[in-house]
This record gives sequence, structure tokens and C-alpha cells, in this order.
Amino acid sequence: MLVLKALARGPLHGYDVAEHILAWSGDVLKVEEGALYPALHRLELRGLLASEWGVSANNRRAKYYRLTAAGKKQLAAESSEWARLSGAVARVMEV
Amino acid sequence: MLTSLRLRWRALWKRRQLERDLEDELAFHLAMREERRGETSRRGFGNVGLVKEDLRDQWTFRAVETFWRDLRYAARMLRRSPGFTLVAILSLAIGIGANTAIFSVVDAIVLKSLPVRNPEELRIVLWTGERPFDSHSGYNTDTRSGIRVSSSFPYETYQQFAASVPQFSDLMGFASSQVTVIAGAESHYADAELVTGNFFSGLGVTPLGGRTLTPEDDRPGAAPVAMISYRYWERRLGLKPEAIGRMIFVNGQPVTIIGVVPPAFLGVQPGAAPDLFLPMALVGVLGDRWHDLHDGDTAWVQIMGRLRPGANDQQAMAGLGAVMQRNSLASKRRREGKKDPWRPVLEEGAGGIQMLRDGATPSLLVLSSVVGLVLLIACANLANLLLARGVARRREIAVRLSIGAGRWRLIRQLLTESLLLAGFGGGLGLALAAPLSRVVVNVAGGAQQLILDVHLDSRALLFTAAVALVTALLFGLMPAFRATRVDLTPALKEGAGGGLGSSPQLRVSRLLIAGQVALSTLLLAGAGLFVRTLINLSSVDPGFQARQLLIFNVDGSRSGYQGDKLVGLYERIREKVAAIPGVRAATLSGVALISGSMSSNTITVPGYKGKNGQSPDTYTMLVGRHFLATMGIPLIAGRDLGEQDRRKAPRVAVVNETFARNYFAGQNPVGRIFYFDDGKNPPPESQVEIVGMCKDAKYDWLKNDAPPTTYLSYLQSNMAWGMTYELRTALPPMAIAGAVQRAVAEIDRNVPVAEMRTQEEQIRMTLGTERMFAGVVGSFGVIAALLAAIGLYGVMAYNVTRRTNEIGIRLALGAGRGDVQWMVLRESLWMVAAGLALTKLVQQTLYGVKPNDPASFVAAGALMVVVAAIAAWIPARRAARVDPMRALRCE
Repeated sequence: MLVLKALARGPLHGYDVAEHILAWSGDVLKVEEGALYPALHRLELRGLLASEWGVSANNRRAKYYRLTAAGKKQLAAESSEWARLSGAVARVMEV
Repeated sequence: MLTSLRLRWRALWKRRQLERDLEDELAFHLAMREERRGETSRRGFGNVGLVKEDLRDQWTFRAVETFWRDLRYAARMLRRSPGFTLVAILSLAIGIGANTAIFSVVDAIVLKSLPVRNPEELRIVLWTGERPFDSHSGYNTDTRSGIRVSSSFPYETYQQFAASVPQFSDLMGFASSQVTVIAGAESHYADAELVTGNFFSGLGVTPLGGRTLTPEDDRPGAAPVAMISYRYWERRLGLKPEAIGRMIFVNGQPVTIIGVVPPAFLGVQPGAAPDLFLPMALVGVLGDRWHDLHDGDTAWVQIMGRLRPGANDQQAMAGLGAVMQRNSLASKRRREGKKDPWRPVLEEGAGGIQMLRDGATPSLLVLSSVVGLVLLIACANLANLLLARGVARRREIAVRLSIGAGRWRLIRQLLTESLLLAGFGGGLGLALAAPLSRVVVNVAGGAQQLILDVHLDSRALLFTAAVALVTALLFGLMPAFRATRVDLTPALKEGAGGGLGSSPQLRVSRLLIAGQVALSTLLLAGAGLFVRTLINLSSVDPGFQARQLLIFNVDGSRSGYQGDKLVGLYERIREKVAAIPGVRAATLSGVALISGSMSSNTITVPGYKGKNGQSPDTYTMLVGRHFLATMGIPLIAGRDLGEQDRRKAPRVAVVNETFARNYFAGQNPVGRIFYFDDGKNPPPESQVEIVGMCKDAKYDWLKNDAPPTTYLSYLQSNMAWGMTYELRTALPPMAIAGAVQRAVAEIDRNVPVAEMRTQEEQIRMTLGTERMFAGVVGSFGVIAALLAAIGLYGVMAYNVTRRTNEIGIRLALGAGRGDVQWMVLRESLWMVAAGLALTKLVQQTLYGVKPNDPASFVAAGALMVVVAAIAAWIPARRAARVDPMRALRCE
């Protein structure tokens, strides 16, 4: 979900995905880099992400990932599910 | 899921690019780390190699990849031992090929549906009940319910069915007939199927060329037309397209060919492929005495119906039953059968009319058990060879296990090897299957010629693949399990030699050898049985002089001859061929002797009571003058039938000894009378006077005893069909064949001479089944014995290698070379002995002990011992030549 969310704003390469998640979470959620790529590839094979090779800002060949239509749908479904779940947890904790 | 498959499929073809992409992506990431965070170490990233492995696995079909790798490895291993591979593939090919051949024939006869539209809707209409007709044709069989059924109806009943049983969308009637065809200058006999006009449309068969018969063609007075089979088109008309539209003469009547039936459609009776399809309305014109459209008491039309969608068998039976009940009211004979009324029976019709099912099944059963045995032997043999290989590869396997290969992984690897062998074997087997299946068709058909659509189609292919797969598992699984159950430490320590004594592997090997010997002996003994039967039959005295006899068939009734004119034709032919130089005597008869055909009649013999109220009966043979003298059947009393026994003269007969023994208590029957009638008060016109008694001669088959036989002059009976001529020759019989052809053609060009052969050939033909069986079972027996010998050799050779040390010690301690040789031989012979003992057991379970011919078994056993001794002798000699010094130094 976090990976999908990171890509919601536009195509990124793997390194940036990790960076973005780290930055947005206020350095709380550090993505295990070794696990990131298998996750990205799994999503790609599930058809939630598409990839293409491009040239990065520093002129290197890099693989960019972007959300597919199916990916966007999946993200919407997962974030509403997450909102429901986290809201519930929050309410329980407030009691 | 689909996306994943698509992406991975694409990746499969771009392996190198995938590798590079994975590499690049990770490299990029590491580069970014360095650039942005200045981290040069890979700490926090994890094992790059492992990640890459993980990614690669995601992108590839792992199972397929490993399988592919295993396959390549297996191919390499097999190439390294070409001898083993060759033996394995060849034995599998023979086993699998033979099984495929049998399958394709069984499939064509029993399993396959007719090549028509929705064959599952077809039903065959049959009847049961107490003798509702004067005569009927068609088959009698015991169906699953055990009742006797018959398949033919009067044409009238067919019409009533067609008009008033709405549960069938189409009811097709048909009947077989032999006809004489004149096409151009040439005349020949052909098999015709008389069919109702809706036959082709009802079945849903479309023509290959031209058009099909229609109900319009099947009206009285319609222009006579015919469809021809593809085979006939090919054989007689050279596949020429102008054959369609051509006029031929069928039994003298001009008929126009309007279309060709597609090659896959061979009629509705598997095995009998008609040449011509004629509209049933032509029956009257063709002069076929048996087939009368207007006789309600003669049943000759077979019926097949297509069930209307939504209608079921019960409804259809009710509909047919109602018609038959009404019909029965009109017939005295059918009214009488109150206890067992005339009623319908329905059978599935998808496979066509199964006249072959009963006839060919025993042969096919024997053949399929034989080929099953051969395949089993091949499997046992391979399992054995693989076991030996497994032992030889113990070190390799132990090494692989110790560096972390899983046992399952190794088993899979070994099974892949088996699969590869089975694959090659199956492929080669498929190539063997085509010619083999033709042999099988001949064997299954026996004396009658079968025409079947046997070709290796997708079903046969599937069958072969399945057999190959099962075979691979059968011979591969056990050795694979055994080979990978290795105790690592000793296996790694050991050299190529190995320990003393017997290991579990060897025990299994010995058992397998014993099993192979048992099965091979069984096959050889079976072949011996057939050979003995054949020899016995060949030495049987038929009771007449079979040498120097030329026989041929003529049927003038199908060229327009009838009554006195027909008899006149036959007499003219007899006189003319008798005058040919080299012919000593000429006669004719209703059927050829030893041809499997016969006719028999119920008779009444005054003064003969009969056993348990059964009426006596006799085989009858219609003959021309001097038949007995010409055939060399010795006369015991009275006279032969001669020129005085004409139509108007008193009816006379010559009977054989068995007849006299059975019905006149062995007294001289000459001068006595009997009646061709089964009633209490036989009409005087059925009376026959016996004027002679002859010695017994075989009638229909060599293996049957001579039945009570009556020889009657054909001039004194209402003979209306074809006859067989017998010429006693001074020259070799076939030398005058041409002169006979010319002589008959001079009398009438339109009367063809058929089946010119010698009497000896005729007899040989009826032994075809036995001959083929002996050949097929015998050759498979030899193959099986050979396989067993190879297996024995393999095991013993391996055993000697293993025991080099032991043998060396024995020799060093003073054992003679002969002793060592005998030791090895003895061990092999033990296996053979065990196998022979096992034969007894297997034989009992397989065949229910019946064909227990001790001579065959002893001969087969002896042969097996000899073969085994030869196979074991080579390793035994090698054992004896072991140099004790070198053997001991090996340690």
C-alpha cells in the first residue's frame, strides 16, 4: 500500500520510492531496501504497476515504476480499508 | 494472474535482457545510495545475490526451467551410455508401439463413434421374440440382458415405423448384398449396401464429390443411381473425377454414379466396408431373391434411428412396440408367439452395428494381453538396467546429496531421465505402430477380410503419450527411490567396486529377472501352443484330395440368369472348363470345402427317434455331377450323383458315414429315405432317397469333425445363387487359370470369375488366424526372451564387477577357474529356475490354467534356460579370467 501510495503522484524509480516513503513518514518508516525490489516486482507481475526504462536526473539508466489502472483501484480499496481499520483502532484506544 | 503469465512468458524469450535489467536496477539503487547518502557498504541492503535470485524466480517459470535443465542433463547422461540408451529406447519402442497398434484397432472396432453428425443420438432397432418370421437375416447376439435379439425387419415394418414413430427424427433402413458390376470392359463382384433414401441425410454424411442419395432416388421408377465408396473409387475407377456421372451396370441394370462417400465413412458396420450404396427401391430390379420389398414375412432390413432431441429410449420403444403389436395381428405366425411376443429392443448406435465385437474380441484380447506382457517385460528390464545404473552412480548421487541437493530434487532428476527414455521410446513406437496395426487387423479378422479406418489419430497419440508416461513411472520410480536412498558416508568412502555379498538392489534385480523369465517363458509357451495347433491342423486329413485342385466362384444370378437358364449357364461352364487341356475332371458345389461356409437343414428320418426330442439335422452340400469322384471322397456303398439325377428325376442323395452312424445306427443307408422337413407328417415332395454312402470328409473347418453330411444334386434343388467350381488338374492348378478365365468369358463376358485359388490355398486361408497368432506371439516371445537375456546379462556383468575382490580371493585361495565360472552360472540359473517356477503361478492367474500343454512349456522353459545360460556365460567367463593379484591389489 505504501509503495502504491508513493507512486500515486507519478512515476518513480526504486530508490526514490524508498526515499519518499521514508520522507513522508517523517523518517519513521524505513523500507528494507533488500525487500523493496521483490515487492516492486511482485506488484508489477500482478499488473498493479507498470515499468519502463528511463534516464534518471543524474544521467543513469533507471527503471521507473508507475501505477496502472488496476493499481489505482487497488490503492483506493486498500486506503479505504486502512482508514476503516486505523479509525477503529484509534477509537478503541481512546476508550 | 494473466498479466503475470504474459509478462513472464515475454521474459522467457528475453532471458539475457531480463538478467541485465535486474543487474542494472540493483546497481542503480546502490549507486544512488552512494551518491545521496555516501554509503559505499551494502550494509542495510541485504544480500544482493539473494535479492537477485528472488527477483529472477519471480520472473521465470521455475518448474519449467528446472525441468528443462533436468532434461538437458538427462540427455547428456544418456548420450554418455549409448548402449544402454539404445536398448532402452528400442525395447520401449517395441512395447509401446505394439500397444498403440492394438489400441488403434480396438478403437476402430469397438470404441470409436461413426463419423456422422451427433452419433450419440443414434439407436439400432432390434427385436426379440419367438420366431416371428419364415426367415430373417442379420445377427443374433446375446446382449447385456442376455436375451436373443435379431436385427432385421420386413421392409413393410420399416415403412410402418418410419410413418408412425415420431420419437425418431430419421429412421434409416439398410441391407447388404453382393452384386456384379460391369464398368467398361471389366466385370467384377462388389459389396453393395441397399439403403433407404434418407440414409445419408439422416446420418449426416456429406459427399466428397457429387451428391448423396435422396428420398427421390428411392422411389419406384426413379432413375437408378448409386454412390460409391472412396475405396471403390480408388481401386476400380482410379480416383478419376469423371467417374461421377458415369454409368455402370449392377447385376445387368444400368446405374449412374452420382457421388463419392468421404473416405472416413465406411458404412455403419465396422469392418465391412460396402463398395456401392444403392437405393432400396432398386432391389426388385436387381433380381435379389432374398430382398423383397413386398414380403411381410421375410426380414432383411436393418434399421438405425436418430432419436429426436428430448425423446428418450422408453418413449421410442413404446412407439416401436405399438407398431409391432399392430403388425403382429396381421400375421398368423406372430400371433402364435403369445408367450414370447414380438417386441423391440434398442441399442446404442454411436459405434455402428457391432457384428465384429463378438467375433474379433477374443483375438484382440489375446493380442492385447500379449503386448501388455511385452511392455511389462520391457519395463522390468529397464527398471533393472536403471537399478544397476543407480548403483553405479551412487558416488555421484552421494556427492550431490552431501552438497545440499534435496532428495526430491534428485528423484525428479532421475525421473526426468526415465521420461526422456519413454518419450523417445514412445516416438519410435508410434512409427512402429502403423505397420503393426495392419498386422493386427489381419489377425483380428481371421479368415474374413476386415476393412477398417485404422490410422494413428489424436486419440492414438494421446494413448501413446499416456502409456509412455505410465511406463516411465513404472520403470523409473522404484530405481529412483532406491538410488537416492544412500547412506552418505560409506558411499563416499567407497570406490567403484563396493562391498561384498548382496545388497537390496541386487535382491530386487534378481526378482525382476525372475519375473521377466516367467513372463517370457509364458509367451514362448503360448507361441508353442499356437505352432502345435498349426502343425496339428496342417496334418489333419480333410477326407478328400486337396492337391491339384483349382477352384473359383461364378455367380450368374447377378448377371440376369435365373431358374433353368442359370442351371444351363452353370452346366455350359462346367462342360467348357472340363474340356480345357490339363483338366482331368470338373465339378461344382454350393460352397467351397473348408471355407468356413456351410448350410444345414433339419430333417426327419423315419424310424429315428432322436435324442431328447431334438429333430435330427444334417449339413447339406449342393453338388454337380461326379463331385465325390472329382474331389476324391471315397464311396463306400451305392453310387455317386451323376447325369441321371436331373430336375425331373426322383430326388436322391449321398450321405456320409457319420450320417449313417447317427441316424441309421451304422447300417447301410442305401435305399432308405428321409425328409427335408421338421414336421410330424412331412410332405411327400420333401422326400429324398439315399443312393450312396461315402467316407467322412471335412466340410467347413479343418478343426471341426466331419458333421452328418448330405450331398444333393444342385439340379434337383431350387438353387438360385453362385456356385464354386472344382477342377481336378494334371498340371499345376494355377497354370490353367488364364484358360479358365477365357473359357468363361467366351460363354458370357458379363459373368465374372471370382476368387480363383487352389484348394490348398483355400485351406491355408482358413488357418490364417492360427498362423498369424503363432507368428505374432512367437516373435513377441523371442523379443521378450531377448530382453530377459539382456537383463540377466546386465545384472550378472555388474555383479561380477562388484565381486572382483571376492573372486580374486577365491582364486588366490585355490578355487579353480571352472569353479568360479560355475558359481556365476549357478547364480543365474537360480534366477531362471525361480522364474520358471513363477511361470506356473502367473499362468494360473492369467489364463485360468486351461491351455496347459506340457510339451510347449517344457520347450519354452528349455529355450529360456539356453538363452539365459548364454547371457550368463559371458560374465561368468570374465569372472574366471580375473587375475587374483590385480583383483587383490585393487583393495
